[in-house]
Amino acid sequence: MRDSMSPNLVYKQHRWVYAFLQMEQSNGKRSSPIALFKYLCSKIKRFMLRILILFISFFIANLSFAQEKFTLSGYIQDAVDGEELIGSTVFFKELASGGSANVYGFYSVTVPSGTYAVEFRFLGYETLSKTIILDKSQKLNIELTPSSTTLTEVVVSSKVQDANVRSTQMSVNTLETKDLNAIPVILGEKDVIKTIQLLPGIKSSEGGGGFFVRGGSADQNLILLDEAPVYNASHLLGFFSVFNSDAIKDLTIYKGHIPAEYGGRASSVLDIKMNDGNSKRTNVSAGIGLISSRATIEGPIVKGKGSWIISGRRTYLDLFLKLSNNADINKSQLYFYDLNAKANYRIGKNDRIFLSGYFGRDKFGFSDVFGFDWGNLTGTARWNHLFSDKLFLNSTFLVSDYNYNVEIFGDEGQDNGFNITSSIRDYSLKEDFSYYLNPSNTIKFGANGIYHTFVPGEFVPGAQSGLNELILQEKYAWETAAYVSDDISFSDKVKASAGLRYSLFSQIGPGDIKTYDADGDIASSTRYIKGDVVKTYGGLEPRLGLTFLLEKESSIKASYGRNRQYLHLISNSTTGTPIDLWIPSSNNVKPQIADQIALGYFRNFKENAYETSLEIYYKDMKNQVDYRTGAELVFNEDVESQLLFGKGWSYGAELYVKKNIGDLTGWVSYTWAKTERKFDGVDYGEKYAASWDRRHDLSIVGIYQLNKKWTLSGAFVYRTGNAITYPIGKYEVDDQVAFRYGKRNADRLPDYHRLDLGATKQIKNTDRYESSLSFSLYNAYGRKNAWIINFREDPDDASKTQAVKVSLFTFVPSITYSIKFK
Amino acid sequence: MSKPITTEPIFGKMRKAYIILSIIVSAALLQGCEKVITLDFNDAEPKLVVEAIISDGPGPYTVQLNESAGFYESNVFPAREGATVRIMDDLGNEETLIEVSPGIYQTINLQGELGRTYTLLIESEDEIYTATSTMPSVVVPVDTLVIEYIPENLFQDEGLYCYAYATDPAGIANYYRYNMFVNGAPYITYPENSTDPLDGKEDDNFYLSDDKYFDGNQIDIEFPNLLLIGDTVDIELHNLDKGTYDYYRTLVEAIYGGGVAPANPISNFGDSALGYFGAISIQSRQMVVE
Repeated sequence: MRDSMSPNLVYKQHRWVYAFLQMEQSNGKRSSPIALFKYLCSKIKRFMLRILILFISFFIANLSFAQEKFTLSGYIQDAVDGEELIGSTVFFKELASGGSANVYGFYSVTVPSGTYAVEFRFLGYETLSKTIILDKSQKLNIELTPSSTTLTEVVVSSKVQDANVRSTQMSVNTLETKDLNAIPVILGEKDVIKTIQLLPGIKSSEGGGGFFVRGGSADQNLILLDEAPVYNASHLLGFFSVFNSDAIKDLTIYKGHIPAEYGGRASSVLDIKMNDGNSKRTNVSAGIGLISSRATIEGPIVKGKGSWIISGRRTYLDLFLKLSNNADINKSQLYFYDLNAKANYRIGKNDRIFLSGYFGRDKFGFSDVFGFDWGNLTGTARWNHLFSDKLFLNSTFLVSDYNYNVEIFGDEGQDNGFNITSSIRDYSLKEDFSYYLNPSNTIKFGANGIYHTFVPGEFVPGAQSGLNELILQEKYAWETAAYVSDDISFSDKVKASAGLRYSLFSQIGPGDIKTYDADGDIASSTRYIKGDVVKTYGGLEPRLGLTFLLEKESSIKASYGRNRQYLHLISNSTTGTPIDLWIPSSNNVKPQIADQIALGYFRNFKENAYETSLEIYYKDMKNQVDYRTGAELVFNEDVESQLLFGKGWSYGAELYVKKNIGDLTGWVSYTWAKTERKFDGVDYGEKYAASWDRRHDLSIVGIYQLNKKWTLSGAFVYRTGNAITYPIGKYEVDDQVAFRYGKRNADRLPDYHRLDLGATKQIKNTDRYESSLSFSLYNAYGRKNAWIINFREDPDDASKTQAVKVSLFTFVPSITYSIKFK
Repeated sequence: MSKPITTEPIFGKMRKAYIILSIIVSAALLQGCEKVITLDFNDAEPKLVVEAIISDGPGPYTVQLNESAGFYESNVFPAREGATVRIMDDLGNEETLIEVSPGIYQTINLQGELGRTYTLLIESEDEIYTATSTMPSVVVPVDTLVIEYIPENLFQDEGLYCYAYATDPAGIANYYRYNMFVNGAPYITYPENSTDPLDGKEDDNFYLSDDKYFDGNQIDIEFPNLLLIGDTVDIELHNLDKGTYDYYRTLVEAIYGGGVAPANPISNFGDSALGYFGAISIQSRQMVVE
């Protein structure tokens, strides 16, 4: 009784597929892509409602067909190091269907009783076949062995070979550490944030820590490290990210159709998972690079019961400062470090706990004049519990903190310095259930609550400084959400994933809550006591994805999703700085809302050796935040009065071609995109390009396995210029020449292109240890790309002004030595 | 007396720290490089530029009218001649200024008073431009000037530096600009090993601060210019209203590169003209370095 749909339902569903395809054809003639998008938007919304009704009827139909069925469930792990194989699949040959392992490696498939040939698969691993007589529900833990060739080290893998075509998820990319290791990066510092920028739809600028997904601003990305949000993911002015790739298992970025279990940001989710540690034996590995060294130690707790891992890295740029003769310079500090730690332990058959933490900090000290440090702390405690072989629960408690601290020391013994601190801290509790109803239907539901504390700034001077203490008001908020989602296959050809999330946000006291007039001056102030609710926002966030399999290796997908965002990042830089400020939605600041609709065609060639996709999207963004001219954003009690609110929209097309198998692997991604905004307070309400708007992005990534010893790699990027405001003239006041500006972002930076090359040589691979040497050359042909453009008086002729292009990074070579003791 | 460290806005110091951090990072690993490039600017039509100050000091007060130029043109800004320029106060007094040289208009009898609100009205080439500014009613005098010897450190060469002290009135928001004149002219900094006047860079005197961090306290103003024995130092303390302060604050951004979203300074002419009309109170003190 595999296909439990009634004939009537099958008929209806086919009619809708037909109608949908018709709709696409009939609109192909429309001249404007926006008009088409808008039309599609309205159609999809109606379509979605119908689908929901279908879901309900289908669900009921499912229940009524409850026959004699049994469940096969368990965990799927790597046979060598015991790491959970997230997304590995269980395939029942006779049924031509199955399931896949969740993020904890747990799978559960419920099918009618019988004898089945069951295959457990994961790319880069040997497929394991078992004959299973399923006459009662049973638990089966599986270990898969990695394929013997060294090819797996460089394979750009996807979880399941044709998952990109078959799954209901679109607008998603996954990378594993293996991918990260092969791609050349600056100074050999493998970096997830830099690597995802080579994927379609993700933009950033050189040297910036932030990234922009499908036209969303940098604060619209939810960055999760083992479920804990990371509020500032940059080290050292954004040239490096806080994620030490040695401690990372894999990452997934959702650019659209964000699953309902995620929420809180308008544009994307970057979900990063830390390594669990080797549960088979103790391992030590280390790497020595030009600017940093790293070390990892991992091992079992009780063999087979659990494992632990500690991984750290530290830069040593400042050690060179010590060589200076200047007493001020050799007393200075300039470094950052990261420490990741994780442990997991299995208690009995049905329970497992995970503890993970991250602590990282940048330290910058200049002699005895000042000190400046900033960093994140995250901690996650999770408890997996199986209520039955079909119902899985994960409970999470997490804490996340970002803070910075500035200290001006003043004169020795004089007590005339001062200290500035600022922080944001979250405590959060989450409950996430998965219910594996049958192979074609998985239901997820859950709820979470976050308590946010914002400390915008505390200025504490020494007694002799002549300055007054200044404490900006702390802000508090509750953010809660509940969701349900259902992944369902209507037939071999049609699948859907429908989710509904309801989120609620309350700004709470204590505090003096102000309102502001049109000029940004204070209009009123009301005192709220502790626990008083100042303002509450909330609403539904529907998420829907549909997949229509056309033939064996191709599909059409459509999705719609709404995301609400209650926190906003205030920054006076496009690239992000340590003193950027997160503020909650409040009586003055409404939540940002993004609606995105996307349509994609997915096709694989040559038995999934090549994956290709073309996606188009339209995103509408409400309550976007920009700043008044001359806004004072730093240490301002009334920072909300400096903000302007408006709307934004973006649309684009993303082409992605990826080669998975062979000596040469890699991908080509091309993005065409446009992002515009419209604010009453900017250029009299005329639309303007967002500062991260650019038209074309091309990335080509290639990894070539030359022989058993050598792996070569290359990455080429070409981007047209970001929007920027150039002067439209100059004038003289106060004996100074000032530049005159016109409309915002009316100009474009010059085009950007760059080639990076890498090579890795395996030196030794014995039973005791393996070692390798990696070389890289960043910006191999020395292109002088514009980082910023400055305008200034001509130093040779004071009667003239000139434009000066500042470039970074030409020909940066690096070498890294890595060793792993087994 | 302790070494004052507080004259610039606190976050200026942080910004400075941040700039130094950037410089170190660039020098150490980025090999940053500069290149003069030619860009195709969308030069706009010339616009009227107004520079007008009225103070509580003795007149005459000057209103200077010029026009803006294109980016790649010489720094020669045409005078706007033949305009009708009037200043009115909130008591109904009014004076028409006289064009004493091309683009330079001056008052004859007008005397600025504390607490008065002034309106500047310009009629030129069939357009009318108006701006209003209020002179702060509180006078903040310079209490003392001190010359101090500072040994060589990270931020300064060794030598004599001037510190000015004033007392900020408590309970009200005050906005200041400090100007330093040495031997009757803005201080000139020369590059190393040069005294060629063409190489000298005049101090722009944009020393600005509000009293957010020292309301009601003694203000210590540290001037970074190295002085010599025999120099005559004039320190002016300008007391500004918030609008004038915001103009100067945003003007500095427009002169030195405009940040994320470069824009013209916040002006009391709105978008109709560039520049500003400011009513300010000025206190000054002079001393000779001995």
